[in-house]
Amino acid sequence: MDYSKPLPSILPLERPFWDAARRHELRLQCCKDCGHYRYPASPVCADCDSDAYEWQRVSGRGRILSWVVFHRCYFPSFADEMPYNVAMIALDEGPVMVSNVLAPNDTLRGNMPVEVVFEDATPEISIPKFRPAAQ
Amino acid sequence: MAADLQRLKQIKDRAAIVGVGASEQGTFPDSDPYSLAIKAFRNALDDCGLKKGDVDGLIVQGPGNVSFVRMGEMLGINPVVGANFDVGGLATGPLMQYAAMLIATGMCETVALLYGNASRTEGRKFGGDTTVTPGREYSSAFYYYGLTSPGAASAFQARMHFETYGSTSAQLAAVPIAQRKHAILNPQAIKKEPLTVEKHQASKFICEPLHVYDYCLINDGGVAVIMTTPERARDLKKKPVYVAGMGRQDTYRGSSIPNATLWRETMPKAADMVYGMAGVGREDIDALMVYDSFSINIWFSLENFGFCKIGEAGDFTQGGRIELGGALPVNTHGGHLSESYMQGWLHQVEAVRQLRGECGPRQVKDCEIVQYICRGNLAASLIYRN
Repeated sequence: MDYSKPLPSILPLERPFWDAARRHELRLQCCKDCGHYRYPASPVCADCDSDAYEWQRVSGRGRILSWVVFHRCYFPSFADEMPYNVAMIALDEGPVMVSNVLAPNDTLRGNMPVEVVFEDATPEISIPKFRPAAQ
Repeated sequence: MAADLQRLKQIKDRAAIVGVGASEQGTFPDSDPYSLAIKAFRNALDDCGLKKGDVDGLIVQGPGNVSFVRMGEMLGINPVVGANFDVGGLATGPLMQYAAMLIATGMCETVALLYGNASRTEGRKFGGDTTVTPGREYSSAFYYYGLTSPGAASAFQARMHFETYGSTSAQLAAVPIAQRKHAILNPQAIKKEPLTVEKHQASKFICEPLHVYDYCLINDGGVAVIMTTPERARDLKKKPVYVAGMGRQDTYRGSSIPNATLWRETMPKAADMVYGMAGVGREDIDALMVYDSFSINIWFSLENFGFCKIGEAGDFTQGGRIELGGALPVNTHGGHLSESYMQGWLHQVEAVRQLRGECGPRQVKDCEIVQYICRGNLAASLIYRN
């Protein structure tokens, strides 16, 4: 079945993130000079201004910082999933990601440990999502 | 770097609001932002006695690409300066400040700020678009997760406040309840049915944990504000309202993600600037106008501007403190939650009307100083005095 939900619009700068996601790897830019991980992508380090970075594979583990549940359907392609959650996840490496947690909405809790999984949306795009992890 | 307060103070009281006006507020099929704004402009001109030809600065704002050039064309004027600032409601405070700066520097003598919004008629939902909107990445950069709408960003923050400080949605209901009481006293307000905690709690969620009563209205209307020099203001129809203080502090780090710091590091800098320039303190504020796209904004504005301690806005807003007759009346017009969603522009109008003593049954007694606050990644505040 065709994937009907919105897909990311990808800057060339962000391509390695999505190439890695396609291989089911979560990779973020890590500053070669100060070690600061950054997300979303940037050509320079916000902490030390260095141009040098590499796309490091990260643990994919983090904790729920906050979450919401959409009861209003803004995207017709989400209609079958109403109500659905969106969570802010603080990765163990520091950056905060937005994603969906693949768990019943009423089981989500602040500080709950989660780990990344990948949803193959199209042959080109796999989207990082999260599921509850063991403590 | 902190603002140079000595230099800022040189433009304290160097611009005065002399005219305010609004169109009718509500649902007006076949209306458009330009027509609504021009109706408001006529009312504002009538309010002060100036003519459109006196305007040499034209600032135009509204959702949906309202053009200041097209507006000027319609009005048939060639001002010295025209401008807009396409960051939605976050623009209102900054544009009021820009107008004051244009006047204080002498670049303009009289600036008209026109706002037109036909969102109800145009079917705008403030969510569900799949274009990433500059300045509003926090609600548009991750639509592939279904994350959309400014309300969702506020819902994340409400959840953080509830989880971190033990505050509750039932406590938050005090905000829309207070504003509904105020709206009932305001002939211009759209929503007049009394609201209770029970009704708030039983209402549907839009983006949980925020209920429908925590959300602003979406309606049509126009607003206009006319600002000029103190010298010119003296011989106009009504008592001038002076721009005594201006504060601004932006937050760009982490701004693609709904804000998780609750702007704790940045918003207080806008507070320092606005109080420092005006030379007044929180205890001097007779009425507070807070940008209330969502009820929770009031809590972050109160906490980050120092009206109460961090984490205590839930308790602070109980017991009528923010209602008319309370220690700190907030949004005495009913705000976006109950009066009309004019993205902060009617907050400026209410500030002026309160300072002129024109508010009838909702008049704040001996009102001399009114503050406007808008939270967000472009935090802005103004202090007005009569």
